[in-house]
Amino acid sequence: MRLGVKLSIIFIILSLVVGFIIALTFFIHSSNIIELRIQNQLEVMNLLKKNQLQTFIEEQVSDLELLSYELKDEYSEMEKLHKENFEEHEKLHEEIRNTLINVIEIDKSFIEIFFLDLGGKIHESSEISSEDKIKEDVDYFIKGLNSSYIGTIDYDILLQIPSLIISTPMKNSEGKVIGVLAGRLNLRAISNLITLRDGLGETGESYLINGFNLVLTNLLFEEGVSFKKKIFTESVVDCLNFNKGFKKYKDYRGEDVYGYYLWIPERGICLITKIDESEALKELSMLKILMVILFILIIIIVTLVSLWLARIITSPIKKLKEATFNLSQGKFQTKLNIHTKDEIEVLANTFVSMAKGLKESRKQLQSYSKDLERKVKQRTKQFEDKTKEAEDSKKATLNIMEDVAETNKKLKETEKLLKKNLREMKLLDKQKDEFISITSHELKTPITSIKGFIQLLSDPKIIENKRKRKKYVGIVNREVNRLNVLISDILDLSRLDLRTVKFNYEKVDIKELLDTVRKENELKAKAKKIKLELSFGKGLSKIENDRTRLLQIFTNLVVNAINYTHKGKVLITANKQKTNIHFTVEDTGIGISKKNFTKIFERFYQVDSGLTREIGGTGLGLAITKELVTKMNGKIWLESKLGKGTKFHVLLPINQKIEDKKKP
Amino acid sequence: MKRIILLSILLISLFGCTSVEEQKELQDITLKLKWVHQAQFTGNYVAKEKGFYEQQGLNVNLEPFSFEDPTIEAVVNGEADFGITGGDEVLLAREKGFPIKAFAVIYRINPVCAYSLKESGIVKPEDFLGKTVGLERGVNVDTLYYAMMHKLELDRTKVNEVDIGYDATELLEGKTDVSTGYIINEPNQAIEAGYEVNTILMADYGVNMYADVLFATEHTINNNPELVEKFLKATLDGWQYAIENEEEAVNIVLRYATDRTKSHESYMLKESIPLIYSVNNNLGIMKESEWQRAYDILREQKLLKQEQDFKQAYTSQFLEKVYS
Repeated sequence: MRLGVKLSIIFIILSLVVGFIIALTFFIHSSNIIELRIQNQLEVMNLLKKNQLQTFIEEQVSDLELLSYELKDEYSEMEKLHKENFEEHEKLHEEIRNTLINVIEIDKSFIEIFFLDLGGKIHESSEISSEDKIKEDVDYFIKGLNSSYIGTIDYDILLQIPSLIISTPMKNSEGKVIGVLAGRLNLRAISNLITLRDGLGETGESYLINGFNLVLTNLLFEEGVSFKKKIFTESVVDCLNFNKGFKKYKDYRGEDVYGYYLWIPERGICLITKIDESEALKELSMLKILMVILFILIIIIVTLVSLWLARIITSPIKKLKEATFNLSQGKFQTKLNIHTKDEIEVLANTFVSMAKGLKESRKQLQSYSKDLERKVKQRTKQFEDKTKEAEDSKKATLNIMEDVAETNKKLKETEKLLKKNLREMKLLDKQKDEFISITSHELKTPITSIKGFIQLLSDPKIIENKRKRKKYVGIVNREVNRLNVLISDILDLSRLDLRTVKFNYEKVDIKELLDTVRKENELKAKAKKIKLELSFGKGLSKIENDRTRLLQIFTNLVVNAINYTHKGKVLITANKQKTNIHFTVEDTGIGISKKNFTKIFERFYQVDSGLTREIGGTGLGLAITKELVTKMNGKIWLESKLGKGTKFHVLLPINQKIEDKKKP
Repeated sequence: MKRIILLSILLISLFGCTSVEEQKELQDITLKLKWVHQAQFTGNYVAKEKGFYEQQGLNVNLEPFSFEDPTIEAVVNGEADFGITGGDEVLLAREKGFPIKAFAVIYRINPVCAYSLKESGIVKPEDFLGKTVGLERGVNVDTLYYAMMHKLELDRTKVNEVDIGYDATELLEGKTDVSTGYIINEPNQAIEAGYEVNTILMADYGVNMYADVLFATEHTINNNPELVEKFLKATLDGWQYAIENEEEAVNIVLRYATDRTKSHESYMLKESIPLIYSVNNNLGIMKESEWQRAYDILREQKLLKQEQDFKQAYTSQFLEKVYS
């Protein structure tokens, strides 16, 4: 792994660990704060409700006390009247009752206000059906005789509503207690007060529980259970042990809630204020999301910063590494762009001075080695000079020896040349002899034949024999022709050899020329049932040459072709090839074996000696042809396959060279 | 094949065992009611139907009252394990030598009342003077009536007292100005007949006798206290459930009170709850002062011939255990 990557990973891990710890601490701290805030909120709401409840009741007590004071005169009068005047008594009785009814109508906090006499019997009541009821054994009567009393929340059997009875002593004008004035408070007002859910969100609520776990007010999540349902949650149980506190617990629905509970000893009831955990911690869940976003942001920033840091740290190291590598390659870097102002810069400086030192020492080394080299060279030169001297003397000796050898060689060469000339001369001589011998033989044969037949013709018997005479004359005639041709051929050859042949160069129409050749040989070909065809290529121009000699060349070739072909055809072609005309004469005859390709151009050579006679030829045709073509600055060659046929190629220049033209 | 038979035998025996065990666990007991099946005994029906008795390991047979076989005699004879009767009845029975004891009160306020048509303007006992009052006999209505008149120092000679049946017929026919009965029952007959009525609960006038108390023989209480406690706990649970779930409770009542209408039973339960339930006390709790009051009334009217220690007529030991 690269240093940069390693560093980045270390940085990221470190920052994440630190970031995570910070985030966790922050989160725990925040959740504690939030929990504390929930507690404060609930506690404040709870106390607020309690105060509202207390104030409400106390206000009613004051009102009742005031009413008791106001009614003092009436009751004092009634006390006096009681035994004396029944009618007056009844009148006053109704008067007081109407007063009570009026109070009820004005002050909706009371459901009923009634006066109990010393026997605990309801004397007057805003509710007429309550009159004469005996409440001698209830607390609000017994305790109400002494001082103002606030009862416990109860349920009125006849009215079938929850109520709270408060009472206060009734005193006559002399200050003597003559009974108890009691008021039945409308608990709906209290219940509304308690269950008002301002500042408690969606799920927050307050409710009252009495000492017997009974719900006294309406519940948010269950309808119509007040004064029926009993609750035994953790907070209720603890509260009924006369405690107050804050708790996370499962409420009457089984839901997790935060609750604050307060035991109100004066009322003997418990006030509970609670809120669902999910709602209470809504902020916390928002915080969670925020933390996650923050965490992701931190990761991104940390990654970028650590990459950057890693680069800052590693780039000088990289430079150092490169410099070290260069050093190992023999390149001395005496300058490094590292200004980190830390250990690495020091290291770089040290490195640079080290490199400088190395360079210096190497320079010295180099100069030493150069010096050494020079000295070695000097010594070597001295040595070489001496060696050269020695060699020179040796060379001189060798030169002498060489001169002797060369002389010998020249002598030998001369000898060789002489020998060769001698051999050539001998060969020429031999050839000449041979030629003369062949020529004489060739000449001798027809002459002998002519001589013989002429002798026969001189015989009268034969002369008389017309048929024989004709035959013999024909033979003599043929032999004479042959001899004639032979002699002209030999003459031609010798002329050629002696370069006495004259070429009359002119513009020759090739097509006309070859057509002439064809016409001249057509009869001969027909006789052998051989087709004689011509084929010309495109752009065939006139050729500058000797027409007669050309006719001689192609007649020779075509005659040869016809002679050596028994079946098929002879094709003559002419094609332009740059500055030359390429002629071919192709047959489907007996063909020539490869070994004879050069021999056939020799004088008096015939492929099959046996055939010569039959075919009739001098054996000089191809030799003359080759000589002519060569003299015309052309080339002649052939290709052939035994039994398949032969193809002669003649390549002649379109224009002859000036020298040749000038040359006679 | 053999295997299948074996397996099925095993399964059957297993099932058999468990069912036998369950049956063994449940103890069969009988509760003799104070009256015929009606919402007066809602708590008991609910305790049975909602499985509170079963939770206590009891299978309670609810036996309605019959004149041929009255409740107290049935319990004393051992035909029933527990009974429901009036607090006054317990005191009277004890004088006769029946060894029974109350261990909880259900109707802590006696439902005995007087009721009149609203148009009559009769709203309090004082208004009875000069009117015809119909009295139900033999069900303690008259006892409380006499006690109330006495307490209020009202002259009964000024009242035309007549005997009536156990319903509102006489009032509705105009034969009486005021009729008496149970506040949870008879006034509703007039209401259902389309009248508005005034009810005068006698207990409001300083006279009260526990109406329905749970009792057992002293033998049961002494020798089988656990059974009493279990039975009491389940019964109170039944009542608490009924109070919290009135509608459901009424439907349960109708499974027993098959000849009753739902509206009537609903009324009965609704009227009963304030008489049974105390906001400021637990269900079933008995007060000495109330026993005293009943004893005093009975003695006053000479229904109890001799003095007795009324504190021996009841015990709170089971209530204390239940609420501990």
